[in-house]
Amino acid sequence: MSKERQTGGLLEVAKGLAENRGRRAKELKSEGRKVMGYFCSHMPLEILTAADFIPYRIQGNMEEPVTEADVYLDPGICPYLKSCYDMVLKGRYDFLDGWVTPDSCDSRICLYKVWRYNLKPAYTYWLNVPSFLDEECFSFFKEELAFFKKSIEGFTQSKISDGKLYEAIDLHNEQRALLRELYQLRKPEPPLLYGSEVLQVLLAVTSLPVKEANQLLKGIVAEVRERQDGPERSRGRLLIYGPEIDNPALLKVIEDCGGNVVIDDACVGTRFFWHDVEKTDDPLDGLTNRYLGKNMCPRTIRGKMEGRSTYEADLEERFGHIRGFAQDYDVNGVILHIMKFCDLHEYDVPDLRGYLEKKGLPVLHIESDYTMAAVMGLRTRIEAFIEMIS
Amino acid sequence: MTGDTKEQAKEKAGAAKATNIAREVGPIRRAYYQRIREAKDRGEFTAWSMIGQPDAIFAAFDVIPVLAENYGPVCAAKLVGDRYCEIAEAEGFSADICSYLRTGLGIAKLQHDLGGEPPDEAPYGGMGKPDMLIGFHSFCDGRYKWMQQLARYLDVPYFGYDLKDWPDGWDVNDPDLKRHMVNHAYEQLKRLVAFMEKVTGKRLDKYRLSEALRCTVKTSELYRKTMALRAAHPCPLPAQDSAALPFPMFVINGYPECVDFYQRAYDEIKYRAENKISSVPEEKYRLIWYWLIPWFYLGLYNWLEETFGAVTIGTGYGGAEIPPSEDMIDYDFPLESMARIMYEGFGSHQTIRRTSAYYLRQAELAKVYDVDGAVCMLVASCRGTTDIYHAWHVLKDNTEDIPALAMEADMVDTRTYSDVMVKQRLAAFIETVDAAKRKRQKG
Repeated sequence: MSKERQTGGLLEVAKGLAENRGRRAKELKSEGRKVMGYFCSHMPLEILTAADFIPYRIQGNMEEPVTEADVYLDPGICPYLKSCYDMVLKGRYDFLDGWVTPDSCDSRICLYKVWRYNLKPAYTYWLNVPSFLDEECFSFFKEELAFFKKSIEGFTQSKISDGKLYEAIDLHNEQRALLRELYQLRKPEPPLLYGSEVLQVLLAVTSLPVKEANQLLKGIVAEVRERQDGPERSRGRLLIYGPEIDNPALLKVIEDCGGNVVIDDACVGTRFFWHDVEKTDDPLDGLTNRYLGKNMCPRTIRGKMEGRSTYEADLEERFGHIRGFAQDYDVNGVILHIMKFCDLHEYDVPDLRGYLEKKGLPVLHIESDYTMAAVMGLRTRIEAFIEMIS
Repeated sequence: MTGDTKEQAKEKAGAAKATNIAREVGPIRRAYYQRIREAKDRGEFTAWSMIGQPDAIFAAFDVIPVLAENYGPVCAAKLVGDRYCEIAEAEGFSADICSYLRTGLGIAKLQHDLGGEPPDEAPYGGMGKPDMLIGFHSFCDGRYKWMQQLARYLDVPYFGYDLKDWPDGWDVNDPDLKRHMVNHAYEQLKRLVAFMEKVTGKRLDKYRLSEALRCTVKTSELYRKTMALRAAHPCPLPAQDSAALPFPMFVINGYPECVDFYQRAYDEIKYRAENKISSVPEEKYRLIWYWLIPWFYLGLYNWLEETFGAVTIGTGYGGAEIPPSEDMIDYDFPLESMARIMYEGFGSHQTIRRTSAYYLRQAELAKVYDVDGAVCMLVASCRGTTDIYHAWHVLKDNTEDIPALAMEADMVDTRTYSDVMVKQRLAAFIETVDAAKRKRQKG
């Protein structure tokens, strides 16, 4: 069982914000601020911040059964997105002034048109994101960002200057640096943070205006450096991989079984903050390079194309960063946590599993249907896995 | 299928065809797969790809497309689709991913284990030994992602190009947005041409491309005109026949023979429409079947006809689109013309499936075809069509009392198909359809 954790402090504040995620956004909304919902790590938040929106990452709720969305969304759609829409239908996202999404996956396309058709939101935007990384795709994506910026300007009736964009880039880069600094505190054994605590911080941060989030993060980093009540030595230092792991319940089960997630390759994780936006002459160039080129989501094809490399080199290009994380964080096991019906991650499982096992990393592959029942049922398998790797 | 003996299942897999043109497809298919088997001996190139590939470019290079979305149904019809799906699943691929692609992955794995030779057991000798894999991102994620997984088994060049569908809500008349999308398509097609030149060792003949493009446009026009004839009473082209009709368009599009085939199709179906020739003695009900169909049991449509006098109109492969016209082709700039055509007209990449406008058109088709009910399969393995409930909402909002039924099934994988359950639900549905029809007739 994980050690009983002391209450109080900024980690506790983050926990409260994560458990009641919309609270702060609603407070700010009542003070006249505007809130723009978004999905996915491919969404260039700097454009939203530069337009004076609070970027608010839309999440579902694993703890609440879907009761409304089943009438609108097929059984075979991503369960996380179905939960998100269920929250929308229940009014939990009424405080949003609009919402935007990048071109992440087929389920997102379905949600986009269903939400628009049935609820007619005040503002929505679909951002095309290329699935390949040739030079022309970068040019296309840069123009996409220009169109997106123009659309936001039209909605707000206010131009976004380069100056405001640079300012937003600085703020978001500051946030990324703070999160990387926080992640450094997971390197020691035992780490100074539980994986579930880190996820709570991420959930909190993605519900706040960037300046406020950065203040909170600075305080948390300082607090954690000095903490005396951190985790005990674990039997398993784990990397968790997968889409939309947005409820600490799974990580707490891992912790209860004597393990600890010390690093991730996940949407609500390193994918959204690991790389900075470079400040280029045209700020859209920096945003293009970062949001298309640096986000390591399997929706983007990397590696072996046009016969230019071997299968092994292809795997290294696609998954080498995970190996790097595992080495840097002294990981001794990997959990592939794959959402049911998430085709883009599911296609990669055999290649990824094979690659990691060849690198000497034991792998546990679990499938989630984004319910608490799914999480609770995994305890035995996780216990056995941690037993095996410890 | 659960509950059936092997013999019963085999009997059901085929369907009695009503039209001569549908019966012509069998020999074309056999010839096509023979050509694939003999391609290397004849110095021809083959490419594994998916439906929606730019046919004119393939034809211009004489590259034979071998399509997972075609071979999956072939395996389903021969009742071996499950086997290849299971092979893919044993490799670690989820049973939730597209069963067409699981079939292809299973074949590729077997082929790999046989040292690269197509498995003898595979229908028509398999999918051949490809010279290249071509993926593109349009309609669904599997179309480009699948190719990456094939690299586990096939050491051939893989090329992917980015082709964006028009997002819901974008103004279709905005010239800047159109330029942005068309230019992207053009640049991506240029990359594809460069890749094909490298693999085949041939230079693109732009006049050959122009002619191939003209053939594809003509084919589209004839195909759509043929599908539109289904509005006649009684329906001259039932679903079990229209399921076979797209095959030449997928594999020999861009060639004059393809145009000839669809001219014959149009002529025959027009004759049937004008002479009120139906697949049933008395057409009591007309059903529209959206999208995916159970390829392992096309006889289901015969069963509906024989049991209820219900003729089914299938829209899975076209019927909603308004095709481009030949005057859109600039024969001196065929590649640019292709890119432009991709965003012209309904059913092009400007509206394909990603917009609610597409569903409004499907609802309109229900009225055009004067249907009494709508049926669709809820296919857990197809994320591209995971919007049936949305289609039903749009149908309900835009038509008058057309009942709709969604049933869990798959297009290839029989393990999720229960004949008893499906037929019971259809039988109950026909009662609902009958009641709604009577109510409409009473006014």
